[in-house]
Amino acid sequence: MKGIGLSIIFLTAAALCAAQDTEAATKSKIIALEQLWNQAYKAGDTKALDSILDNAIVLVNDDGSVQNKTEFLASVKSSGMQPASQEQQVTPESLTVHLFGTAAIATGVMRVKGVEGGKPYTRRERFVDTWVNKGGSWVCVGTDATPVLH
Amino acid sequence: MPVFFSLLLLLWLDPMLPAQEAGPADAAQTKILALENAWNLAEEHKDVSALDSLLDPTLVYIDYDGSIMDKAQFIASIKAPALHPEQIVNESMTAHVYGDSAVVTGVYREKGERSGKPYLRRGRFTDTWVFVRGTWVCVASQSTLIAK
Repeated sequence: MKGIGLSIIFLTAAALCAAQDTEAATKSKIIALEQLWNQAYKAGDTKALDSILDNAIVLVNDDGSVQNKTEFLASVKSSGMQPASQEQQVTPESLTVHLFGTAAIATGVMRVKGVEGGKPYTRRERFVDTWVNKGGSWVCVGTDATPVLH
Repeated sequence: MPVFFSLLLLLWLDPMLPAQEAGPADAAQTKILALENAWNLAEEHKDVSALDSLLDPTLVYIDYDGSIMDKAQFIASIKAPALHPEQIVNESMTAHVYGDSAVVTGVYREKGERSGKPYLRRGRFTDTWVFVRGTWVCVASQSTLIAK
């Protein structure tokens, strides 16, 4: 009986370790996707953006305006990397991922530098991105950015 | 029926609504939109018990000014005696369901009084819900003011 008890403990511990490894790997994957998003946005790489954004994604911008995927990709394409684009530089300051089975939320702060109405600005924004696993691939289904006022 | 009991009834009925009747995604959508309305009422009436049942312990709450709160901090902010929300209404709401998770986006309008001063806000919100332990709970909520 003691042997069976020990086996159960070992198996449970092994299963827990495996689950933790999987969770850590998934969180790393989401962080990598967030980095890919930033790089693709900076580079105006709409193909890469297309691959990580769900077709039904809803994007809420820092001024409360809303875009769907087509509108967002079109805005990236049209702004290109021109200095006249509204947001020129996005630098992530922090990022935390919470995992809920086939869903994950990534939350953090980013620093945005740009030019608006001919005047340069720098502001910090807090964001939440929601990711879901669809057929083995993680895609972003929702993103919201809010300026940090204090 | 007193608001407290209607909230309790809504929250009690929620997991019992059969998901099969209208298709799982449709049924989930209906449930989640009802929970969004229950959340507004719970905030208006400072119903901490109802809020507690709607929010996951790991909740990440981003307020309209970019400040971040966990569940305990958010509930404490609602309980604050200086805060008197009179009306919180959603002008529009859309829910997208992805199996055991869902994203709700919409526009809300809130008016009330804080420390004796009236306030009126209109913003866009994004809430992320997940289905855990047989019920839907909110794991992330964010609001962004709509620029005039």
